[in-house]
Amino acid sequence: MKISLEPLTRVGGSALLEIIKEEGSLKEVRFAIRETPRLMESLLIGKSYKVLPEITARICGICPIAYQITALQAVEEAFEVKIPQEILSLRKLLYFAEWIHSHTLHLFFVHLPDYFKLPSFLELYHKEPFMLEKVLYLRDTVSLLIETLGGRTIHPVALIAGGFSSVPESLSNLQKPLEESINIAVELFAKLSSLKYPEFSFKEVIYVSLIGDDYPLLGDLIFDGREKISKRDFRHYFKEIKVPYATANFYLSSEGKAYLVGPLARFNNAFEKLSPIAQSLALKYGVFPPLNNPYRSALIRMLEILHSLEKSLEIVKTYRKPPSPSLEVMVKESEGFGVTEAPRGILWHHYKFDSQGTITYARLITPTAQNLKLIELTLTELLAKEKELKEEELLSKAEPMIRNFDPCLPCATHFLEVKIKEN
Amino acid sequence: MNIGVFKFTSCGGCQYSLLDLGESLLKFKISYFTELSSKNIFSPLDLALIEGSVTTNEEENFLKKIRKNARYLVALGACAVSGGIQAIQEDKSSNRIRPYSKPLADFVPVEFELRGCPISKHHLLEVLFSLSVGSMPLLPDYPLCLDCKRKGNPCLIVTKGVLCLGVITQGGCGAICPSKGRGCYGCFGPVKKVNLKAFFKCCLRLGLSEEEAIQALKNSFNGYHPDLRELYENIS
Ligand code: SF4
Ligand code: SF4
Repeated sequence: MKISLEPLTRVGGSALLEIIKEEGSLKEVRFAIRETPRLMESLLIGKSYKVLPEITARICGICPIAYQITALQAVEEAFEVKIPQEILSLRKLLYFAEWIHSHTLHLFFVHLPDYFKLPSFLELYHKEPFMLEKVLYLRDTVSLLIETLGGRTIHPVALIAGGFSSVPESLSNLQKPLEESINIAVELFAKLSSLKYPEFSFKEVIYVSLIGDDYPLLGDLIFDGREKISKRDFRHYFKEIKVPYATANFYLSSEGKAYLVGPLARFNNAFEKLSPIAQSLALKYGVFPPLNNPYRSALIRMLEILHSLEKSLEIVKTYRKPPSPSLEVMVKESEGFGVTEAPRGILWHHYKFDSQGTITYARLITPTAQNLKLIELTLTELLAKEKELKEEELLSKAEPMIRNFDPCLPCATHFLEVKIKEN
Repeated sequence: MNIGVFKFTSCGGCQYSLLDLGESLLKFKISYFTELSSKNIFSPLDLALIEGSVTTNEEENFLKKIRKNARYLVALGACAVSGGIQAIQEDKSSNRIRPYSKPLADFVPVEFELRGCPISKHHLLEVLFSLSVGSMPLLPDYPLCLDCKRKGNPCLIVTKGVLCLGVITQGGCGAICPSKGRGCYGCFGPVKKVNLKAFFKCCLRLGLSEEEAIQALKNSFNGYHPDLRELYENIS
């Protein structure tokens, strides 16, 4: 027997849950994604490498910078452009700002109402206007940061192959707001720590993130708790599976296991690399690895916000305008790989170009798509225990769990083709 | 004023611009917004804000249902206004485009269009505040070049010889791209009474063929705008 639970709310994109029952007991929960794919990969074929930062950004309005920087990493690898440190720092600064922008959106506008048993942020902030003021201050700070570097907050325009189209004279206007934001983030973390988080622990999980000298962000080595994998070899790490009920592909590790990317994976793999204030705060409140309870991912997102603020402040303080915003790009027949930590986890791009720099091949693996299998397994485990719950109640049990994973469905479904409108 | 926010096929960027309105957002009554609320009432709406393009029959039917239920319908951004980047799926063999997705106005009357990929929050505020006091919103209808002049940017076409779609793009963004030292790529879509002949001439002078100029329009996130789509339909 199959029951459909819909609509799923406060999830980025359109989906429903299918509950499969056998002899009265719950056997399987399916994450039936309905978002229409936008065929972004096939769209790119035949276009110049130059459109990559613009077009790939439109896969996701929440983490466009992640797409831009990952695509540029691949382009610059293919055409052997060596980006100087000072330009790389500016890219990191933009990326940190996006982590904050995305994490504050999910945490304070999507997820938090669950912990107050309220239907949305509107009710929450009528009740807690003081908290809203703080959250808005954080968001205003990072919006200012992204606008300063990129021109606008969503789909910024200044990232181009070889560097930036232009860089700011000075970033000193950002120092004060960042310092104030760090204080606010510390307060918000304390507030979040005082909330009650339901108990739950993953039965089996592999945490996959980038690994390097710093807390995962850019890089080219991927770590799954046992071995390090190069970005080139990562394509052999995962297995793509098609599921008939969803407009997205699902992924398993090559051994056929579900794995997790994103904040929890980064935290468990690289806790000791968090920035000083974030790390000491985490220890003070008893938040450290191994952390296997997805409900507590809210706390990890807050720590990552704090980490990003501290790192941003470092970059802003030492900024001096680089002599040139970009390097020249000489195209050739080639291929390139990009991998970075988007707010939701590992984002992986692979492109091939002909001698004119025209795209001949494009493949993108997104964080949410990699987490879908674990989301399903976790929901199955969670709901199988709730024998006495009625159908309507199942949905309200399932939704907060899904939100722990912060799935973004436009990302997950960026390429599969579905039945389209005919006329 | 009773507001509903809806999402069709899109990236989510435009609807989340609502959050950039900050505290002003709490002044409005939002009764339908599934991406951000678990309490959604599909009651008669004063204003339906719709992001995204129409790609499936379900979306088409739902759009018509919203239309019946809403006094004013607002298309949010390039996907809703022009079909978005996803509308331009090229059929490599025939050189034609296959409209995979379509703008809202292909199916229902739309009262207001907010241009851009993504929209500007100032234009959104203009619509919300004007309608809430019962007056008609004033949205820009001049070309982007005017924004550039206001900012005092030197013209990129004249001084650097690079392509800038600002000459045929609707203004209102504040010339974000030229202010960052790069040409506009057209995300606010074609300006009213767009003069494509002059545009092609301008491209020619920059050393670009008509085909290259058309490619730039296809990549503008508004390639399937009603005022542009004939371009490819006539090419074989
Ligand atoms: S118009 Fe652009 S920003 Fe808005 S939803 Fe479409 S792709 Fe996203
Ligand atoms: S300059 Fe053009 S492409 Fe850039 S934001 Fe404005 S309208 Fe969009």
